[in-house]
Amino acid sequence: MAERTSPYGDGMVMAILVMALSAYAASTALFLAHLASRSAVLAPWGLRALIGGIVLHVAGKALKASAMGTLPFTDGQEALGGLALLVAVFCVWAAHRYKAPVLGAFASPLVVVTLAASLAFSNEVGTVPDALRSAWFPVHITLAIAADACFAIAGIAAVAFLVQEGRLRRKVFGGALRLLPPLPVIEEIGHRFVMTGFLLLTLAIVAGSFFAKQMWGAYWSWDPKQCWTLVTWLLFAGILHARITVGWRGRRAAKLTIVAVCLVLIAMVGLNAVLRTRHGGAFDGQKNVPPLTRSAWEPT
Amino acid sequence: MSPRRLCCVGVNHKSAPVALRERVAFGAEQLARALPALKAQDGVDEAVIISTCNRVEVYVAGDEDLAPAAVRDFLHRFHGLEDGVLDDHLTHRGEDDALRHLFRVASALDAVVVGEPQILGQVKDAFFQGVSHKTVGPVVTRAFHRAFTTAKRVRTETAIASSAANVASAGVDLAASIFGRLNGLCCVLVGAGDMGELAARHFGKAGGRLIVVNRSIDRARKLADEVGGTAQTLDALPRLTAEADVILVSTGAPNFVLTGEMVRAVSKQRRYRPLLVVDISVPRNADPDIAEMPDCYLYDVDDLANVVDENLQKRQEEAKSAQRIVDEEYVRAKKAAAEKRAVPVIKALRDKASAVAAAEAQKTLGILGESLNDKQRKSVEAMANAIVSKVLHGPLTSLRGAAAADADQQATDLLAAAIELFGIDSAALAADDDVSEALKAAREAQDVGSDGTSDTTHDDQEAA
Repeated sequence: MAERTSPYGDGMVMAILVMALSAYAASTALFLAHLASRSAVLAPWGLRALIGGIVLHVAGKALKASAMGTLPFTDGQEALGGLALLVAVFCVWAAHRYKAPVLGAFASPLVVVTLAASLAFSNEVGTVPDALRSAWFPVHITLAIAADACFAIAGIAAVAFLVQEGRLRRKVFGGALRLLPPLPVIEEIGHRFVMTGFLLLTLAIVAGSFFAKQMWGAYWSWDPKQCWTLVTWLLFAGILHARITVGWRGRRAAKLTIVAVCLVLIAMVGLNAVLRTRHGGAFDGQKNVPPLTRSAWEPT
Repeated sequence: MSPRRLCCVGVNHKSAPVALRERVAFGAEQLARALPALKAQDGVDEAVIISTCNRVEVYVAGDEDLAPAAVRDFLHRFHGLEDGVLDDHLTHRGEDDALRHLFRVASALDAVVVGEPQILGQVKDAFFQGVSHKTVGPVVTRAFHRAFTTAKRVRTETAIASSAANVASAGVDLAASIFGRLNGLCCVLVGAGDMGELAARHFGKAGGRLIVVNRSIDRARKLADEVGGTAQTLDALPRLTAEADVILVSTGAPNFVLTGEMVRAVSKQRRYRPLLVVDISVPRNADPDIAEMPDCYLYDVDDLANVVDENLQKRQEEAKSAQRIVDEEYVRAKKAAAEKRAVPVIKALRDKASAVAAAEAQKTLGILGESLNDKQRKSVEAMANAIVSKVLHGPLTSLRGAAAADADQQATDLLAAAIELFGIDSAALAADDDVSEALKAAREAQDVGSDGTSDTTHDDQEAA
């Protein structure tokens, strides 16, 4: 194990990340007030707070990266933090691009919860296991986190779609109907992020298999996490295929997207807690566990 | 000299019935004659006329005693009304009320349908007419400038005008929620009911493609020509159902003209494309089953009326915050005006004093002649200037202080006293406000609402 010490200290990183968390929380509060009051003035401030959080978050991450000498995505806690950051970034982009600041009302609570969970794990500027010092590893993990963040936004869009569609169908014409973007815009957001997420996931799987070859000696070894990921990959492929070939959309498409996104979440967070997988070390409470050797994992 | 004061004389939908309002309304070319004639009246220095179908209001600046009567007489004379017909209906608002009222009018708080967006454009046009006929001056310009600023704030900070206020535009709003953009949508109008026609016009204006369907092709053609679309007979409806994005049903038929079977039959063909059916007929002409079909949205008259009710209720709530903005801007305008009022007096005083100082210094230098060198000459001039400055320092400080404070009456009294005591020529007091600044404010205020689809489609009562 290569020990590296931070020139700034863990406290500094932690302080910045807590400030980022506060900015995200402020953003959530502003968005909730926006929904409650339907005052158009509050939404841009919510977005600004979100952007402020992103800036602090990036600063914290950069500090940590410089201390560790690698991308700070090496364990579950850091992956969660990275996910929070990317969800916030994608949300700001989509809110701006589609003039739909209300997306922040859905995304910012998610960002807060994710980053808070990340900080709840120990946040020491840790050590990087030697085994993870492969060129493929940061590529694999970064792509996977970016894909997950895309799917998170897609899931948010699908929920927003169901809310808006339900209101139109049930003829509830209150103010919130006006806050949400028109149906095709929400669908466009969802489609775009499913597509991007799918692309990133595909690349993550490819990069991961090269990494696996280095570490375990095989490109694919039917690890539970691999299988699970394959299922979600197929599901998203199906959703995209139906949309592109026959224009499949609407309620059922949104529902299936939500199911697929839930599977992704389970793959990322839940799976390690339940199943023994060689993708370990992330969320099973063990930090910096040296990856198991091939012999321990090969089915006998 | 009495200072120019703003006042407003006029009728609106609250004070006079339409039968009377239409008799005092000003058309475009009447306005061109009326404005200069109005300005020529005794006691009237500046004039703007706002004439819409809900109000005819004359904003003048001038003598506060003479101007209201002058406007009253002018309105009777110009429109050839027998003397006194208007007397029970004309509302006269003095300086403060007039300003506050103008703010409310521009912000659409005084409208029949609160928040309707046309009125701001009409106020702007009225002001522009005044500008082009050279009947506006500093007082009116400042008042309208402030009114535009207020209207802009109301539009940005409240949601007062962001929702449909009639059944036809409520339909268009729903379409916007379902389709995002209205541009290029295929809109089929079945029947020739008034509401359907109005809604179809809204869709056409928003860039939709209109197809008019009627039992008789002749009637379809006639209506299609009016609303700008193509005509089809009722037989084409099943085929058009596959093509349409929006179907407006508005016939007098006692049965379902658009049946569930028609919609179900084309669902494959439509490939998950949403279909909005707006049924504005009583009895209903669209099968309620359609509402249950996937990707189909059906709204009947009651649904749309609910949208409108809810929107109007919301507008009333928003009107409260809008009123707060109006009050704030009013206070701000008063304060600015008070401060501004002191500026020309102070400037005139200074000019006058330095002219006296220069003249007296010149006189002295003339007597002393060549015996003084340059430095000594300068000292004489400096002394003269120093004396008037020292004498004026006290009065100017109190003038400024009184104007900046809220004590309105005190400021007025002091300014009047200064004008009287120092014998200031009233011609020197003209403070000019920039007309182009006011027009810019008007443009900005209008731009605020024009990015959404709603503004162009919600022409409510005040248009026409």
